[in-house]
Amino acid sequence: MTGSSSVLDRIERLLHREHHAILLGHRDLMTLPLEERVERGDTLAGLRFLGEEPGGRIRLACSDNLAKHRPGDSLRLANSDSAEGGWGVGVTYSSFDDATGVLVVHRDPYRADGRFDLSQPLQLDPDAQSLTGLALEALARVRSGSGSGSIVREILEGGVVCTVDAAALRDADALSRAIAPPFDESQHEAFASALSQVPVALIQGPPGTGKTHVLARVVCALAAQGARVVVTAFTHRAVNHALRKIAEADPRLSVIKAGKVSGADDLRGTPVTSAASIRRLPSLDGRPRVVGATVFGLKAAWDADLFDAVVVDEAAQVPLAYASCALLAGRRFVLVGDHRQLGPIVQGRHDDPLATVSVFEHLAVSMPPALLRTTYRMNDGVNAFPSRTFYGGRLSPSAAAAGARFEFLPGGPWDDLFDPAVPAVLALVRHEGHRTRSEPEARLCVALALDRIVRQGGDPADLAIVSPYRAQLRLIRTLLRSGLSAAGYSGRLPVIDTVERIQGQERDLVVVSLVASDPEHLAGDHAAFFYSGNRLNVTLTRARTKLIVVASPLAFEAYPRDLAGLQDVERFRRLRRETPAIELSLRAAMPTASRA
Amino acid sequence: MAEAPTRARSTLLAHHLYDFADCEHRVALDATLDRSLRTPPDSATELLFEHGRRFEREIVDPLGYPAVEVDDGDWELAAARTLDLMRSGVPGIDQGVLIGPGRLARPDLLERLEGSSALGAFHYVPGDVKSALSPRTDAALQVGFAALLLERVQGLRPATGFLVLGDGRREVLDLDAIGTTVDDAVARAEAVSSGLAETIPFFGSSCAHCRWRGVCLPRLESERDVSFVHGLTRTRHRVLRRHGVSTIDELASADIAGMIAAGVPSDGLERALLQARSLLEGSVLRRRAVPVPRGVRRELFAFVEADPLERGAPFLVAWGEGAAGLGVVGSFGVRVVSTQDERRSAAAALLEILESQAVAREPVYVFGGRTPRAIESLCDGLGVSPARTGDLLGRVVDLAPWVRRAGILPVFRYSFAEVAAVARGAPRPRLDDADDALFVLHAARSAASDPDDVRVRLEAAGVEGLRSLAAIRAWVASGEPGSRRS
Repeated sequence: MTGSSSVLDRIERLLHREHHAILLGHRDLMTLPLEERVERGDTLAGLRFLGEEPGGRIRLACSDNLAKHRPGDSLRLANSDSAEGGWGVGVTYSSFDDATGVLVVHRDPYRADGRFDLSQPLQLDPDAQSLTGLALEALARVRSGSGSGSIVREILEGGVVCTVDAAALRDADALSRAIAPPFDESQHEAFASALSQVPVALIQGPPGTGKTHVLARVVCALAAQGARVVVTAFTHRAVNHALRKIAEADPRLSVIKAGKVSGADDLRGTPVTSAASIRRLPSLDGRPRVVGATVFGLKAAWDADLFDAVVVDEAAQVPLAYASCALLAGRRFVLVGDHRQLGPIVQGRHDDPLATVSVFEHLAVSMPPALLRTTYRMNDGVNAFPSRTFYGGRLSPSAAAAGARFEFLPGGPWDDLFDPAVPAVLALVRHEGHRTRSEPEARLCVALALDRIVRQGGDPADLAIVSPYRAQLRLIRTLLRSGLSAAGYSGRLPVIDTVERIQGQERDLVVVSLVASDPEHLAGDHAAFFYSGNRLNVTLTRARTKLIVVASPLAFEAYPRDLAGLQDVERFRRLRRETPAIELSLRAAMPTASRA
Repeated sequence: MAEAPTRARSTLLAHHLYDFADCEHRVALDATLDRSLRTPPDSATELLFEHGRRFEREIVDPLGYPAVEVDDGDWELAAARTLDLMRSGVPGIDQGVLIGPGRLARPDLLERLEGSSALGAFHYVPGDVKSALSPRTDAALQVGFAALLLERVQGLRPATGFLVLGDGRREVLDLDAIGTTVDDAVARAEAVSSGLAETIPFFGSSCAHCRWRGVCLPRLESERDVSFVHGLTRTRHRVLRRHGVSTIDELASADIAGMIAAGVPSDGLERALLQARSLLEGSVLRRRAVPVPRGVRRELFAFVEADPLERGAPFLVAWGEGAAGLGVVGSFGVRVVSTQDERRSAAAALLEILESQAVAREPVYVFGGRTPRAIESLCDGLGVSPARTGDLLGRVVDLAPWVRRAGILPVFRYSFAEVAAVARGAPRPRLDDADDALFVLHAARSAASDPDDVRVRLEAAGVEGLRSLAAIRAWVASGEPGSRRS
């Protein structure tokens, strides 16, 4: 069914289905009771209005935030489902400070069709926002071949032949050698490839390999050569992160973020300036200029010949179906990402595997990316399994990172788990039948956190507790707050969140709670989520020196029905076999108070 | 069980790996019980087997590989013949026999590949022919098991194997990527087969077709086993039994707080208890109206069945239409199709109705994922543009998840037939009823040898399907307390 259709046909079909899936999915979601929406992480309730600044920046008090929302998400701020005028106003999620409990959203001027009562509790619900129309418009341009459409078509259909310009390669080589701090060998290769290979070059950046550093240098070099460069990504946060790094890399550049003001909140105090849109860029001031925008903010550049080069950051999170929106903005492309980490988020359930494929993964099949091979984050022990499993053993820690060891104070009840000589360890607790919440695991995670923070005096900022399930994270937060309070500790909590929300972050110590111990449940529809290899990779690569994975042995024993699922489970089984493990009886894990 | 368990047949066969992923208790029964206690395949399953054998020969015969015969059950001799053929370097072997201590596999195909092994500069990889259209775990485990046995004779465990799927496609299996899983499965299946690991009967979705259903189902029914409670898995079944809950009745009256305090996982426990009560009382619990998407003026229903024996091609296409909110099929059409032309004609008729001006934006109700997949296949066959197909499928409303939100039903599997019975106030279908497409088709074929009769029966099944859909749609939206004795 899908094999005979062209890629563009398949994309078109997916976009139409996705459009309906977004609208119907939102409609179905909003029919759920509020508690269920909160439990699922779709809605935040019980918010209190703190104030609003000019420009529509709204601050809200939020006691606990385990919602799925990410910066740039379109939400609706309202009093309640049933309140009068409850439709509320459209806002964009900006940030949340766990320490102060302050959540920031921005009014969306295009969705200001309701109201809310400041004195009453507020809630944030997702808004249905389908941008498939824009992607379909881009696809039509690609089909017609207008502007850079014909190149983009060749790229998407796999018909493009990349060539390396020998002179550009020589220049890039010399330029690369002069960069300070110096590139490592693989960064050098990636840099040279990006500057010399046309029309497309891919750079794959595994965790902690300096992907954004390389991207920033590539952009600076292209701009210095006179190329008009636009940097894009799927989210404002990713664009802003890249722009900050570019501005740091070359202060002589004029770096401009184009797009709605709410998407530039985290650029305050940086050299990056803002413009309302691509159409309203400030006039050139004699300096080379780099512009940033999300893939949805580039439409004005499709046929306008505004840019020569498009640099896509986090390209492994840009769904293939939306790639045209970005690629139509130029004729030369550098895509940076890692298709072995979390991929695109898709609303609908589609039979066509292309639905969940990113533009990076799609292109990587026919154009092997330049792999950044040195991680500056993980020590040798933490790096070993991910390198073997996800990068063919090609990822190595830098000399400094390799020998780094977890610093801890011995003498506590969990010294065997904290042992720095074993950087990655499985804490196996033999519980059974749990699906999304496991008290034995939660208590063990909390005991470890208490030991680290209270007895060892460790900085909570250097600790993260990660789990696939929000129900488990809530339980851990509740137990940890209570434990810290009982210990007279009033400082901030460590990061306790889902893998999705900590991608890109790192900590010295990461404790993972896998939770699930019902293999038949895991083998069903749930398998694709729980056993996702990409999610496992991100989970295991947040730690710098110490990784403790708390799990039941049953978490590794499912037999999903389809072959892809079976291959995913294989990685978990290998993790179990190849990682040092300490088995704890339920009794040992549960009475944390007595051991801690 | 009256039968004394014996471990007379502790040899692990490839099909045990096939069964294992589905029901490990089946593997234990194969090893312990007299084969005469097995329930003979029903006619639908027999048809499936026969089709599988025929398809296998269609694929394998043209290859012209030498076949290995098994004389009088002498597997050792057959394995020796296989080894002789391998040593001689034939390009492929049909039905080769591979044995090891307590293990036996007979892959449909062994094929020679370059790459040195104890046999010489070449080695063999295993492959199976399956009617399924996508590679499934059970089939991959079977091939992986054969690879394990190949290692004994060629000193090399092949890194790949293959499956020939129902559409003739050859899918290469990366056996290295599932090696640990195969090893674990073999170890677990052997533990079960040899009696080292205990298993107990459990009511699952595959019971309706199982060869041991005559043994397990009466026992489970007489014991009012708690595995009949929808949502329970083997693992949770084991946990509940360990905490003294073995029957539906015990779960229905259990002290949830006490169980949680004793360590029973809390997530989903309350729903399981209510499900048990619903079964006991034969009534719907927690009944409420749910805001299922509704049409503005009209509502549409689609019921398409596809034949797994014909590579998933639709054979029954039914559609209906009614006034919004009534849950009644006012007008309908049913097409029984067997040729490509008939399918195209049915697809065109279906699209004409679903896309007609009066209903172009109204929802199309279905139950489960089969009908949308079949509609997509019909649209593809007709060359419908992706935009049209996408728009059409985007209007499809699957009633299955809405049913569970509308209440807890006194059913075992929440299958279409069971849910329809509740919605229509009909008796619950039997435990061993299979309601898949093959059953619908074959029931009609076996009940009437005259093609016209078959057509009439299938048309009737289509109309019933539409009426069931409409009844479910109305039931989900009405919120009226439903009560029905089972």
